[in-house]
Amino acid sequence: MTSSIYTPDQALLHALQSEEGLEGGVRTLYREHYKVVRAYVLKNSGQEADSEDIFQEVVVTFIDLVRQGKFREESSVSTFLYSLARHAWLNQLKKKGRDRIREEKYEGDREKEDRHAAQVMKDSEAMKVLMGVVHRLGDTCKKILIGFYFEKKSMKELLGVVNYDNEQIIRNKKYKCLKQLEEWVSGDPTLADHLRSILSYE
Amino acid sequence: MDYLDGVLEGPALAAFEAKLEEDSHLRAEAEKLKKVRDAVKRYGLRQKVSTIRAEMRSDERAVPSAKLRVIRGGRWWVAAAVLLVVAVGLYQYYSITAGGLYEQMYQPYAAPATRGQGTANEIEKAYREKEYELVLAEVDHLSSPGVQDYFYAGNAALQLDNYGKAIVDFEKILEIDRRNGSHTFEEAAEYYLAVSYLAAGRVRDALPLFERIHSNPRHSYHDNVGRWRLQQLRWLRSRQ
Repeated sequence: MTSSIYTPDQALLHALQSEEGLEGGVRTLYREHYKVVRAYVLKNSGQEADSEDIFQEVVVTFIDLVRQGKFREESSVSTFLYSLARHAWLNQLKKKGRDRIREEKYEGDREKEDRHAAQVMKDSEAMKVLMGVVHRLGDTCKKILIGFYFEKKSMKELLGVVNYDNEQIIRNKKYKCLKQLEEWVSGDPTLADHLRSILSYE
Repeated sequence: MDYLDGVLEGPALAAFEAKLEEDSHLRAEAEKLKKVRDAVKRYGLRQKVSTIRAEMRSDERAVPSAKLRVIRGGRWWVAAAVLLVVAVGLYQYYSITAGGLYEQMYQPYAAPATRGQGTANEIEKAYREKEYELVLAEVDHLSSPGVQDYFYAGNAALQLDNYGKAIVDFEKILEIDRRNGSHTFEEAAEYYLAVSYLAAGRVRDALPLFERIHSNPRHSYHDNVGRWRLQQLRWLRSRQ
C-alpha cells in the first residue's frame, strides 16, 4: 500500500467533521483513547470522576479544533489527546493547589512537549468559563442558539423547537439572547478577562 | 448579525468588512460576539458528547444489571435462562471471526446492464462474465485508470480473494475522489474497502468506516451495517 488516505486517524478526523459521523467518532475516541487518559489521571492522584471530566473536556476541545481545521496532524491523534489530557489535568491540579510536586516533573517535559497542546488547553479553560455563562441562559435562548449555531437548524426548523409564531420572532429572539450573553460577559470583569485572553491568543 | 451568521455576501460583505477596518469599536464588538457564539457552539458540542457518553455507559451497564435483577428473584429457572443467555452471549462473543463476518457482510458487486463506453465497457463485460483475472489485467494495462476502473478491479480482486489488492484499489478511488472533490463510487468504495479490511483481518481499520456508514442514514450502504452487526464488529475489535 503506497498512499493510504484512510488510516484509522484520518477516518476518525473525517467522521468528526460531519454531523453524521460525530456520534461514531466520539464513541471511537472514548473506546480507543479513554483508557490511557484514565490510567494517567488515576496514577497522578485523580479519581475516576476526574478522568471522566478531563477526557470529556479533551474530547470537546479536540473536536472543536478539528472542525476549525486547527489540528495540525503533526502527531497521531493518540499522542495529541494524551498531551491535551496532561495539560488539562495539570491545570486542574493547579486549581486545586496540588501541583507543587508535579509541576517540576512536568516542567522538564514541557519544553519538549507540544506547546500547541498547552495553548489549546489554556484557551479551552477560558472557553469553559464562557460556557458557564451560556449555561445561565433560559431554556428557550439555549434551544434557539444551540439549535442555530451548533445543530445548524434553519429558522423554519427552529419553529418546531420553540413555541413562536414566525421566523422573524425567532430571529429577533436569537439576537437578544446573544446580546444578553455578550452583556453578561462584558459586565463581569473576570469574564471579560477570560474573553480577552482568548482574543489575544488568536 | 448577518455577518456573524455568515450569510452576508458580495458587496454587502465587502462594505461591512471595510467598516470593520475603520471602526475599532465595531471590530471589538464583532470579535466579542464571535467568541460568545463560539462558546454557544462548544456548549452544544459538550452536551452532545455528554449524551453519547451517557448512552455508552448505559449500554455497558445494561446487560449485567438486568441479569442481577433476575437472579435476585430467586427462581432457579429464571437463573438457568439467564445462564443460557450468558452462555449464548459468550459463544457469540468468542465465536465471531473476521472471516465469518466478512462472509456475512460481503455481497459481490453486480455490474449494471449498461454503463460507460470504450475501455470501460470491456472491463465491465469481463467483470460481468466473471473473467476476474482479465479485469485485473485490463485495468493494469490502462495508462491512467479512472475510479470506475479501480472499482471493477477492486471487486474482481475481492472475487479472487486477493484482499490486499482490493484494499489498494478501493483506497485509490477515495484518494481520487478526495483530490478531485468528487464523489464518484465513493459510498460503494467505502463499503467495499471496509469489507476488504475485514477480509484481511484489519478490523481496526474496518470499524471506523462501518461506524461512519452506520451513522449516516443517507449512505447507500447504511442498511448493510445494522446495529447488531456493528456490535459484533466492536466485540471482534475488543478481542484483538
